Amino acid sequence: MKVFIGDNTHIDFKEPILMTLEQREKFVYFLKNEMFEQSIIFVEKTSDFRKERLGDKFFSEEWSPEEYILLTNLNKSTYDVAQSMGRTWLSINMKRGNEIYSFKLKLKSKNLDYDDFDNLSKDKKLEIIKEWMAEKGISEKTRTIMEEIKKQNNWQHNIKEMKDALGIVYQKLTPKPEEQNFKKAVRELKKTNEYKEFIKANYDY
Amino acid sequence: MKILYSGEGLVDFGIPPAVSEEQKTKIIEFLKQMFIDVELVDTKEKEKHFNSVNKTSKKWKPKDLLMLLEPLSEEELAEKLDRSPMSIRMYRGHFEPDLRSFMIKKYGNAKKPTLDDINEMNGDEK
Repeated sequence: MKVFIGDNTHIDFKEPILMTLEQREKFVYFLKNEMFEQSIIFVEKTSDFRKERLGDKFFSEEWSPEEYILLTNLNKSTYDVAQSMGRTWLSINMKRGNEIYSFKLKLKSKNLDYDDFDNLSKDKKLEIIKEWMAEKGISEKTRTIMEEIKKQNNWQHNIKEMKDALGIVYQKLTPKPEEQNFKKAVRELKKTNEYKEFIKANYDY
Repeated sequence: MKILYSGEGLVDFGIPPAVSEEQKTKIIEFLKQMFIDVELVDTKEKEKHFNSVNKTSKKWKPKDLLMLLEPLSEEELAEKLDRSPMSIRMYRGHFEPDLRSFMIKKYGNAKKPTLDDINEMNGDEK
């Protein structure tokens, strides 16, 4: 197996690695306990692995509410947060720079300061973070729909062509969302780099 | 961070994670223990391109840094400190968390930093 070692701190596999169930469990356990913060690691089944590898393009991933908990823990240095999340120092710095003021206002509206927030339970923190994220533009409901759409093979193509498969996601969602949330999810997905790059590669001649 | 797997037993990172030197060593050791044939390939990464910025930087004074702790918007701070909003954003992103982390290590809490604390954190002489 080949492991790519990037010149800017990232690592990657040359291709997905064949593992037994036991090896996969060991690997995930290792990542959660020896490498990164447990709460930010999500194990998901897929049938569609990415083709691009380290060196092919710049990768970015949406920030999860669990990552926001770490990000807004201002008692942790930027370096520590970066290390626990598998993100670069610069990305944490820029994200924090963008979000700290807005988060401060959110806490103030709840009569909390950082120390109060730090002492809250994880569930309570998540509740505040999700509320804050929703207020910032994209609601939790819209995010859920976005995730559902992204589980489809060739989701970018489905969005571009407004294929029937896209409608299937809508029909499957329970409780059924308002059409507005669905449309918003599609609009948000169109803004992602993954979608833009797909269109550039397949439609821009 | 997503770890993806398929029904056929393939496993992959959702996107390549960033690691410190220590983490890099750890994961390589781990993979070498689990797999017989691990080859490391040095790779030139694609960088994110930022718009060109004015690189003349104005030194941050401790009293300016204290202002960053105030509940003021980026624009308000930029005006008060005569800096660009981008420079406020970039410095604010790490200054407050790094200062709090420093204060907690030194005093056990993150209350009311002084100019001396900021100097000490920055490694400046008093």
